[in-house]
This record gives sequence, C-alpha cells and structure tokens, in this order.
Amino acid sequence: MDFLDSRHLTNHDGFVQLFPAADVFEYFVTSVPAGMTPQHEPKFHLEVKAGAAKKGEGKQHGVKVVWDAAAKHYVAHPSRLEIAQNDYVAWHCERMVGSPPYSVRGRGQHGSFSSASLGPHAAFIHFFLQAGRYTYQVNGAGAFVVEVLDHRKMDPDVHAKRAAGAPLVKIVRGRPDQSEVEIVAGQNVVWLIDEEQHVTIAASPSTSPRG
Amino acid sequence: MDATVAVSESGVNQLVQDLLASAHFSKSDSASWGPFTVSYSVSASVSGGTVELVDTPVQLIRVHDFNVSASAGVSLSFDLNNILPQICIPPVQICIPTPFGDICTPQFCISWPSITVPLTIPLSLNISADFGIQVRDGGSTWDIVLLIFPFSLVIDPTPTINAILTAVENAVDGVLDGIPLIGPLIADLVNLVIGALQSVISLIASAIDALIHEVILLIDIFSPTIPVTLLSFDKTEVMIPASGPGNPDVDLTLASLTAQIAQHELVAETNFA
Repeated sequence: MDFLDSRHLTNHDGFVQLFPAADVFEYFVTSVPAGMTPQHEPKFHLEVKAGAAKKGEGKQHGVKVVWDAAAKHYVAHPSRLEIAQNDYVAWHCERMVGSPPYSVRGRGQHGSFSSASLGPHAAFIHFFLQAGRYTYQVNGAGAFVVEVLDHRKMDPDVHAKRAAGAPLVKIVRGRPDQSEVEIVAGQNVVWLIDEEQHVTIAASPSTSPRG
Repeated sequence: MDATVAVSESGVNQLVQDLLASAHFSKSDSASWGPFTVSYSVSASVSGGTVELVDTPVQLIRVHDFNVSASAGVSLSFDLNNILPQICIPPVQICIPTPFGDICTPQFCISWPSITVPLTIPLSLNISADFGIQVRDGGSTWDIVLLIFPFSLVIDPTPTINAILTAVENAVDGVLDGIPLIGPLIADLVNLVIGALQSVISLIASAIDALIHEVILLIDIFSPTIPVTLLSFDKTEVMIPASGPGNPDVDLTLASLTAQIAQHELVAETNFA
C-alpha cells in the first residue's frame, strides 16, 4: 500500500500553493518535524509580485525537490523563484532513494504556508501506485475512502482512459466534499483546501490492500 | 597359497551398493556477475549401477550407469534500478481545472524494486567408471581397495541456463505487471533484464557446474586420490575360540594378501605365517 500523509511528502506526492497576494517568502524543504526550525538545511526564496491576474487566472510553476545525498538535505530547483500574484507553485520530488519524507514550509512578510499543515489556497496531490482501499482521515478525524482499482483486472484501454483524469476533492469544514472516490492504480487524487486552516490528510490504520 | 576367498560379480555389486548408500554431499557458494548476485548450493548423491568384473589382463571393476542425482538451489538477486532506465508516469502530464486554475499533476518516477528469484535445478545423469583394485596394509587389516581411473563428467549447461532465464523472465514480468501505466513497455523492459543476464549467464552456469563437479568429487568413490575400502580382512583370524583357561584362542596370521579378477570373480589369496 502507498504511504499517504500530507504531513510527510514522498515522491508519490505533490504540494501546490496559490499565492493571492504580493509577498516575499523564505522557505525550507525540510525533513525536520513541524514546529522545529531547520538548522542545517538551506533556505529558498519565493517572491510574489503584484499583478492583475485574479484567482483562477494565474499559472502554475514547478519546483523540483531533490535530495542532496552528500549534504543530507533537500534542495529546491530553482532555489529562487519569482511569480505573479495568483500564480501557484507545485513542489514535487521525483526520486527518493534512501531519503526521508519532507515538508515545504515558508514564511513571508504577511503570511506563511506549510505542506505539513495545509492552509488556504493549498492542494495536496497523491499518486496512487498500488491498488487497495485507502481509508483516510482529515485533521485526524473521519473515515473517508479512496478505492484504487487494480489495473491488471481492467481492460487496458479503459484503464488508460480513466488514468488520464484526476478527481478533485475539496476540503470544506474539515471534511472532503466526496466521502469516497474510486480511481485506478496509476491515478492521482487532488485534495484542494480553499479557506480552511491547519488541514492534514493521512491514511488511517484500517487501510488495506485489495486483491 | 594357504587360503582363497572369491566374491562373485553380484557380491561385488552388493558391496559397491553399500558403499554408495551413504554417499551424499552438499556445498554452497555465492558470487556476483554484473548486477546479478547468485547464491547457489548443490547436493548430490549416487545410486544404482551394475558391476562388471573385467578379467586379466585388464583387471578392473567397471561400474555401468551410476545414477548421479544432484540438485542445485539457486537464488538470483538483482536491483532493477541497476538495469532499467528511469521511467516516469503518467507519460503525459494531466491537468485538471480547479478554482486556482488548471493544476497539472507531477510525474511519478518509478523506483524499480529489487528482485530475488529462487529456483531449484534438478540434475540426473548416468555415468560409468572403471576402478582398479589394490591391496593395502591397513595396520591390523589387509584391505582390498578401489581406486577410480580418471573419468570425465560432462554436464550440458543448457537446461540450467534455460531454467534461470525462464525464471528471471517470469519474475520480472510479474513485478513489472504490478506497476500501472507501463504495460506497453513491459516486454522491452523484460528484454533489457534478460539481455543483461544473457551477457553473464554462461559464467553463472559454469560456476554452478563447477560446484556440481566439486560436490561429486567429494564422494570418496569418485575421488582419484582417495582409495575406498571394498573388503577388509583382519590380519589375525581366530580359527578356534578359547574354550577355557588352559585352552586360549587358536589364531591364524595372514602374512600377505593378493587380489585379482579371475573368471568374473574377485579373488583374494593369502599365505599364513
């Protein structure tokens, strides 16, 4: 079964943050637990310039998260990024060979963001590699489900068609707007947090594989 | 000549079968060839065969069709990351509309697993071998021993090679089949692994073959340097057991012993001291 926990990102995950206001952020891509300040890890920079684009009109920027095995910390590429207001940034690590889960945590002059505690205008994306019934909780409560069907039991064309999409699940008042979604192995689910604070999404212990 | 003992061909056959009954050896080894680490163990035993006593002037014991039964347990391990290229899925980025704008999901780059393929390769072959006979002084005994003439044991490596290739192909196919979105690539990826294996498979088969030879040569009867005792006579034979304090054993001492094959019998002759 896949590891599913928005507080501890892996190469199965993506973290997206929209920036609705101009600001200058310093952030860490860190394996240090939330609440602790990273000491040995480098800071990265994100500047959000004022712009005319409204929410929904911005564009996506990608930041590659790479483990530096020699220095034993993560590095963001690019390390300095300039975006426009209402643009959004997606952080993702392509390969994790012997590297720990991480989180992205930043602080600006007016606001902050954290993948470990998802806030307004954030999204958590998980790529489900293995089939099974994933039961998850939001903020440590509830029993919501992602049912992942085994691609080996499907017609390849049907599988390819279904894998070409990704369900969008909105978190509203601490609950997903769909308590259960069904996808196929090799498909992403995107959880979107619009106005909530301190949201976590994590598999609960009852998650079980499906034959 | 003071005494003669003759053992028939079927009698010698029985003696040889008794020698083979306890002949069982095993040995293990491991090594790496390229990205493949192979642990292998071989056990072998010998049974069957029929004895022919070949008379003068050749003077040998020929055993036809020993059955050598061996089993090679092979465990082949490899990390697919050392063989396969990096592949990221899905092949085309997926973008979905959201209130933020279109979010394009990142690609997931596959961390290939390590695979261990266990398999057992049975081997059965019949061989024939010739043995010379000698008499050796065993201290308190005269021993008639067998000493094998050099023989060649040729094992066809093809079944071993085919068994390994098939097992690895099935294992890799099974593992890759469990990864979604790479279905059209699986055949090529399996071929990459098989191609890497084929470049070293002869070396692997040779190493297993060498170990099989080594184990068979551990069986005394196949060792050209270890004489195997077929028959043993005490140098002092009690002819009349003691019957009282004044009547001790009446012993005969065998001063010498000779052995030869004559008229399809193993004939031992002795002189008393």
